[in-house]
Order: sequence, then C-alpha cells, then structure tokens
Amino acid sequence: MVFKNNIYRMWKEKNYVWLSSIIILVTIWVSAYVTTMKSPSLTIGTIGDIHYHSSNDFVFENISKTNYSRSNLIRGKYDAYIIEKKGSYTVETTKSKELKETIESILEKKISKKPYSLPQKIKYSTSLNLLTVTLMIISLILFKYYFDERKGINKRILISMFSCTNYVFQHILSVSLIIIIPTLLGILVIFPFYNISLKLSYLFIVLLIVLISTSFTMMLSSFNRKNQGALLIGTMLTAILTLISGNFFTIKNNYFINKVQILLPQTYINTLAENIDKNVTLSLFSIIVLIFMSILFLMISIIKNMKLL
Amino acid sequence: MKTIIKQDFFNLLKNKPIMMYLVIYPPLLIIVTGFVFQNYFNNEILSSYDYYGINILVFLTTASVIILPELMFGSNVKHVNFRIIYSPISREKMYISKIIVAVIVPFIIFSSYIFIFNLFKIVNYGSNNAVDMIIIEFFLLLFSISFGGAFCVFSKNEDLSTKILNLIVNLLAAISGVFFPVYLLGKNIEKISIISPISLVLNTIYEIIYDGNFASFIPTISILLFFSVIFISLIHLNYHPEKY
Repeated sequence: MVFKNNIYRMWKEKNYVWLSSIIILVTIWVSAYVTTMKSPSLTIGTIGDIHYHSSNDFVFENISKTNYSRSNLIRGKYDAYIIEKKGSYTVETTKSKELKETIESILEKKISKKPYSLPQKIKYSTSLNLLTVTLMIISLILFKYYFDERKGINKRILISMFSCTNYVFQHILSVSLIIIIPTLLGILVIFPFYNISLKLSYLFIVLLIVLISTSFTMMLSSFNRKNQGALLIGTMLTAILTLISGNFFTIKNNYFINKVQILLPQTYINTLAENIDKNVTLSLFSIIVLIFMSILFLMISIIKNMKLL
Repeated sequence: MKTIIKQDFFNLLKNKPIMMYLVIYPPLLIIVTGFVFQNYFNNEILSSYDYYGINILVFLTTASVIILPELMFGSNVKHVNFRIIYSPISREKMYISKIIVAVIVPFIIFSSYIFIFNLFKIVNYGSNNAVDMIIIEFFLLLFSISFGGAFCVFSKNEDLSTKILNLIVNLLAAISGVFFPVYLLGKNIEKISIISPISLVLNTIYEIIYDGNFASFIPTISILLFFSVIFISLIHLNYHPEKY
C-alpha cells in the first residue's frame, strides 16, 4: 500500500524523479569521463634562462617574471615553478615533497631515476565511490515522501493492521526502485560510449550501494523531523565520512582514523571496487558486512518508527 | 520592519538544520579536509588547512543560497507571511527584512570563524589582510542569498528549489576547483569555470593573500554587487507571498 502510494505520488510530482534521474545520469557520465581520462601531465612554469623539452609526464612553460604569481601555483594552473637566478635554481611548489625532489633531480639531470608517481589511471573504484556519494544524497532527496507522512499520516497507517517493518520496508523499496532504474539505464547506455566494459560484479556492487544508501537514509530520516534537516545532516555526514574513508584520497596512517574506517560502509564498498580493478573475486567478507550494516540500519529505523507512534 | 527582522532572526536561530550547517559544518569540514589532504601539501607556501580553510568557507558561503527560500517560503513562516502581507506594511519591507537576516546571521558566524582561525594561525586568511577576506565574504554572501531568493521566487516551490540550488552550488564548486584543481578536468571545464562566482572569488582571495595583489578586489566586489542588485530587483518584481 505504502509502496503503491509512493509510486503514485512520485508519478504526480515528477519533478523530484526528474531531478534525481538527472543527478544520477550526470554522475554516471562524470564517472565514465574520469575513468577513461588520460592521466594529467604536470605543468611546470620556468622563470629565467631554463629550457627543457616537454614530455608526456611534464609540460614546461616559460613565463616572464611579471606573470609569476603564487596564486596560480595554489589554484593548480602550474604544479611547480623553477626559478633561475644568477645560475642557481629554486623549485617552488605547494604539492608533496616527492614532486619537489623529482623536479630537483631533473635540474641535476638525473631525470626519470626516481619519477614522481603521477596520479594513477582512474578505474572502476573511482566510478563506484562517486556513485556511492551521489546515491546517498539522492536517497535523502527521495525520502521526501516519507516526510510527507510524518505530519500524522504515518501514525494513522501504523495504528492500523500495517506492521512497522512492512511500512519501513515499503518506503525503502519505493526509493530503491526510483534510484535503480536510472542508475542501471545510465550505466548500460553511457559506459559503452566510453568503451568501458560492463561487468556483472560492477552491477552487483551498484545494487549493494543502493541497499546501503536507502537503509542508511531511512535511519537518518527516522531521527529527523524535516526532510531539509535530514538532507543537510546527511549531506554533511556523507561528505565527511567519505573523506575519512580515504576512498578518493589516501590518508596518513592514524590509529583513530583506522578504527573509524572499519565502521564505515564506504570502506567495504571501496574494497569490493578494488577487487574489480584487480580482477579478483569479490570479497565475501565485505559483502556480508554491507548486508549486515543495511539490516542494522533497517532495524534501528523500525524501532525508531515504532517509538514515533 | 524591526519586528519582522526580530521574528525572522529568531526563526532562523530556531532552525536546527541551518544553524548546525552554519555553526558546526565550517570548523568540522575544514579540520577533516585539512587532515585528510595534509599529505598532498608540503607546507612551504601553504598547508592543507590554509588551502581548504579558504575553499571550504567560500563553498559554504555560496551554499547559503538555501537560507532566504527558507525564510520566505518555509512551511513555518508561510502562514505568518499571509498575515503580514495583509497588514498595512509595504511589500519591500517584508523581503528586505528577510534578506537582512539571511545575510547578517551567516556573515557574523563565518567572519567570526575567519577571525578566530586567523588569530590562532590555524588557517591563513591573510594575517593582517583578513579584513579583505571578510569584505569579499560579505559580498559573496549577499550574492548567494539574493540568488537563492530570486530562484525560489521564480520556481514557486521552496522544497524543490533548495534541492536544485544545492545541486547548482555543488556543481559550481566542483568546476571551480574547491575540492581539487580544476585543471585536472581538462581545458573545456577550465574555460567554463571562468564564469563561476566561486572561481572568481577564490582567485581574488589567493591573489590578495599570496601575491599581495589587490587588482581584482574592486572588480570582484563590483561584479558580485551588480548581480546581487539584479537578483534583488527580480525578487522585488516577483515576490507576492499571497500567491504561494
């Protein structure tokens, strides 16, 4: 009944479905774009009497002293500057020490002996991690229909013969359905355009992401009175937890962070995504943990919704 | 007008999600991103905290677009607005009061963070030039708030417009290099980023702090003010609370 009603309301208020579908399709397009994007070469600005030939990894651009600005270095227009002054050279960069050492070795003509590791070619893992962030936020948007019922309709439904488990489950099912359709369609249509081979294991992980996202947002929504509140807190949590999970950027080894990462679904999604990149069987442990987490979120949602009565 | 300002001020303070977003999000996000990305900076020119301290604050300032729609059309003020509009008070006073509250509250919170972080050298907001950062922050806030209001007045749906506005801000942030340098995304995206207000503001702030170059300061403020006036004019022409 709740499922049918939600689908009916989504059909009546198509704007939300359109908005979610557009965001999902744009994310899939962006993920396909970055997955197949060439590794960027490093741009080095040279000031003074310095002449180097650009290669695939390094592009040298001679610039005048008047065009020198540190803000260009910070904003990423240049990865480093080599400044020549009376025969001596200084290297300026905001980036890691490894890059500075590599450029210094170029100056000492020890090129390529210890090359700076360019960002690795982006693979399925980046695409899946991007989808995780987006699908969590989309679920929060689509739980609008749950919040519409929080004004009292939920109590009327729950004091009838309708079980709370069934109520929560049907909300999750309707949101999952609206997410899965554009996601699968987007993957099936956009990926072939970028010559990205489709894998069943990839689609399986997408389904797991939908499951964990909808159950997590259901739990979050149960604890918030308004959709806007859940959206703001959920977006904040998703952004911070994704950063801490280290899925996009490697984090310095830290005891506390390592312990927190164990509790994050993103960590297990990333493990599965890396399994695809390495072409190995999906980690059964990660799959079980993700399913277990989803059930836990569902149970918390059910208990909270019972208490709302 | 004073009464409306006072009432909207308390309404905003009582709005837990927005207040959490304004008070907790900036320090939390700056500390987390600064920590996560510290390996990617060598700290000679700037640290990850300096970089993300500026980027995140500019991003959050732009993301304040959702505040005015909430004050204008939020479910808890909708009916109150009906009562005000039928009282002998000019329509201008109503939306101007809301704009004042929507700009002043986040401005006080964000500039306090700039002041504190700069004072304790957690983030370099320009040391002695931090006032310039605060001035730019004010005009960016005015731009974002008026843009949010104008957008909502046209869409006539507060809930949907805040969601679309969130999407627009995140997209602008991504193409403006808030999270990673925009040059990584290729030449075409780099060209598009020129039209982004976030990109314009970030370039100006970095030029002031790290090059001591104030050439873009006045043009940036003028551009933000120009568009703010346009957006406020659109609000003036289209804000009719009795129609919502």
